[in-house]
Amino acid sequence: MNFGMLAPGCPLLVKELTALAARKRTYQVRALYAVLLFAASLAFFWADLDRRTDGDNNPLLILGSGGPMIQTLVYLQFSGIYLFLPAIACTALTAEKERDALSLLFLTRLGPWTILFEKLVSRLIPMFTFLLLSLPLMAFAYSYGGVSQRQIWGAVFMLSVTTVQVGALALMCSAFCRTTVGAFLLTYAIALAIFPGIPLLIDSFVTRLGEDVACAFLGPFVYDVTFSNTGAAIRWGTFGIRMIPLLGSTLIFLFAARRFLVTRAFLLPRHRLRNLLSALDGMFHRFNQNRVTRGVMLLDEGSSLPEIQPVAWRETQRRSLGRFRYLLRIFLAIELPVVAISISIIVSPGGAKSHMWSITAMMTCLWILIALFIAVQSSSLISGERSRQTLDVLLTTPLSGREIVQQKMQGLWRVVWILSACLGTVCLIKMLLLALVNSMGFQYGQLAYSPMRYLVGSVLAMAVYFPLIAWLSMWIGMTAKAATRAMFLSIFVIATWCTVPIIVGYFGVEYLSMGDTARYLTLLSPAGMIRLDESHVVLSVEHLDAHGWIILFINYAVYSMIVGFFRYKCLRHADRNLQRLEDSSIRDRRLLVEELQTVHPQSAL
Amino acid sequence: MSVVKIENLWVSYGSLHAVRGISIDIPRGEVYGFIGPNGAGKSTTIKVLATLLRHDRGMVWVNGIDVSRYPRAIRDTIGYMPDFFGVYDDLTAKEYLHFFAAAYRIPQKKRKSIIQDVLELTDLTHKIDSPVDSLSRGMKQRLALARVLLHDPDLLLLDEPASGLDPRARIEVRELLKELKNMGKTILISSHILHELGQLCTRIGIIEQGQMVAQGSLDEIYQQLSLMRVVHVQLAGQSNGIMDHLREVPGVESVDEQIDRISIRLHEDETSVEDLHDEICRLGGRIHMFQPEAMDMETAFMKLTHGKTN
Repeated sequence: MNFGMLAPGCPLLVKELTALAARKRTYQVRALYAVLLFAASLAFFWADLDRRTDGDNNPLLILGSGGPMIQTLVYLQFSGIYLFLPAIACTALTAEKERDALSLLFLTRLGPWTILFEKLVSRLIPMFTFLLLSLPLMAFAYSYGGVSQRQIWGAVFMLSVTTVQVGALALMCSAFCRTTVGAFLLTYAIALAIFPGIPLLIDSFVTRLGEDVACAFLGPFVYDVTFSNTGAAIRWGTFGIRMIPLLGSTLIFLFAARRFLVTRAFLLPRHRLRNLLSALDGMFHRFNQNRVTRGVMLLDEGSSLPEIQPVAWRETQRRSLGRFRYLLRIFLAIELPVVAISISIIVSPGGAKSHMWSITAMMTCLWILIALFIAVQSSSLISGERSRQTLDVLLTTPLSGREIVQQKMQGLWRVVWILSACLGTVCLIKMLLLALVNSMGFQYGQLAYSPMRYLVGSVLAMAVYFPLIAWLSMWIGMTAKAATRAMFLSIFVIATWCTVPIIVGYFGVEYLSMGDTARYLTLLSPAGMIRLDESHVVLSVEHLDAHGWIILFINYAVYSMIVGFFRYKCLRHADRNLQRLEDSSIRDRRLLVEELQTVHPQSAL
Repeated sequence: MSVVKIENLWVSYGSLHAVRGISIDIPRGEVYGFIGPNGAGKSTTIKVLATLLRHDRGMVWVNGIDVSRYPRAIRDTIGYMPDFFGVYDDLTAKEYLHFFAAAYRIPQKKRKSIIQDVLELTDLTHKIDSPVDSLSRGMKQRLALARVLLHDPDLLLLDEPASGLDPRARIEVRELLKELKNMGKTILISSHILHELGQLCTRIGIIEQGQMVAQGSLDEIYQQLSLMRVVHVQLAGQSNGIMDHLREVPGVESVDEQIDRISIRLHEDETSVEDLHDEICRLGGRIHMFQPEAMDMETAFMKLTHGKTN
């Protein structure tokens, strides 16, 4: 398609749109978005219609149900914007930086604002095409009646404003960061913080903010209070005031992007973590040189040069997240706040239920963060070597593919141990709290949950799920060409695997009356068993009481087999996955020795 | 026995045929120069030899061992240097070499002396404790060469070893390669810097669009192309009809009179440069300057290729 006709005088926009149109991934993501949107919308529509008719076949009962359907659709589109747009837009400027092409753009007559504008529009257009995907669903909903024009136009306006706001945020992060990975993480972190993580935390724990303040930056909130109530008249003055934070934040993001575009255009890798840990090394070394300790070394980290396993040596001795002393510091940096927060939750006023809820919330956050961390680290172990162009050199050494992969994982296992220890501490605190609550004759949730089963379940979860994430991500990393792609793909696969069965199970229970069958469906997600362990609400009381231990062991036995499968996939055909010729079988090697002895009688392999 | 033997090699990336039926035979101790435009299939061929790429058709042997059947045995006998450095920036030069010494399973007792030797050979002894990311581009290239030599391979596969280097670094790398040639290493080297290959290589292969366009020693290629040698001559005093006589000498294509010299275009297969010199003397010419122009590979390259890529 010739985009030059559509956007004359915007060369960068034309180039971006042409590149997007030529990329297979554009269509894959669009298809995925459509599938998710249609599946979720139709499920909600069906549930709503089912609830309205309630077994009655009278068609008049569903008349006028178009309004709630449109509402549902609009909220799903808002979710789509918050989930998809940061990933789409955060690459806008970092891609140019990674290709060393930003300096060339600066040399053209395009000014910084023009570059920003064309980059932003190039990312907004694909998002608007996503939003247009809902038109058939809107038509479907509209046919049921009960839809006001105000709802439709309000949705169009608020979805557009939110799209620009989130796009501007992602563009700012893209201008700020050196790499796409950094921009990706920063965009989601800021989005989580202001849409509306931090205001909600303040509202919950510090002081009551009120929904108008807590949700000030949220487009869906403004839509909800302004356009969803078709009965009341719109108060334009209030609406105008509510738009100020949205539009103001968009402008701030754009001005910040303009500033960062120039000031952070040519960043060099800083290795901040490595430098910080080295600085700490120097500081501790100085402290250690005194009359009492006299430079005593409590821990010898082994040889400073590789002896037998060079790849493992580099992973554990030369990388910041591999050295034991650095890991110990990281452990303390995580463990101490975790313990402090846990204790502050337990001693804070409020009942056992509130304490449990807070610790469960902390556990959930830790699980998500650790899973993300392992996925990112593991997927970039091989793909990172490939991106840095060091893999080919390693592959021409006599090290087998299996050895390379196993040695590469050694540094990661150390980090996994450290993170497991932090998570284990919280599990232990929660188990003790559970035991205390049980001993006092109270119940948490639906039943008196066995603290021992909770502890065993938590240990098994860490022992099985962390290797599962690590091997799955390693497999994806081995097959992907670029580190960024491997990382995104790993996160996407793990997030989908964890959430889809839970959502399906939820629909089954809530709307399809499938009962325990649907509840068991949630165990198809690795997060299902953790949810069962932590919140105790997934299965019915009778089932859990009768089969708790069996469910626990079967679940982890099945997932252990899946871990074994991914490990096998990584190691069995490691050479093929690493993209080099596979080693011959032992039988073939014997033949080779015989052949060579015939050709060179003195040679020995 | 040949160190490298390739017969009718075909390699494809999907529907794109990167290499189409090339055959190469490199005896021990030979330095084989691989020339071709970007995208001609040089790196692909080298990657097949380095066991990094599976070929579709044909046979490839290194030291008589089939590459596709016994890649692990091949890896012990080759040293591969890609067209990028492939160095770990978080290590020092010493750690980097020890890393690969361990990867090549060199006995620990021998590692120190071997690393010392290769560092001396590549003139990097003074940089042994320097972080790799602090080394210049030329030094990184020499470090990569040192890494390639650690396990004393029979065959060196060097893909564009001089690309991106400044003139001094390029000369240093060239001298190093000459040293390796004198050590009897068999070297397959691809490069764009044609005149340097001319000084170094015993045989040349010119490849375009995945096909071998010409192959052989430099002289053989010039003969294949019927390239003429230009000889510049200055005569003391008047030429006295010598130019007319020279035009009748067999093999002389043309004689052009220029301001300070005459240029003679000569088919060497009919009359050698030495015979031309004798002929001028016989005709009574007093030679003030006699300068045969070096035949350059760039001319051969331009004549043989059309700048087309896959």
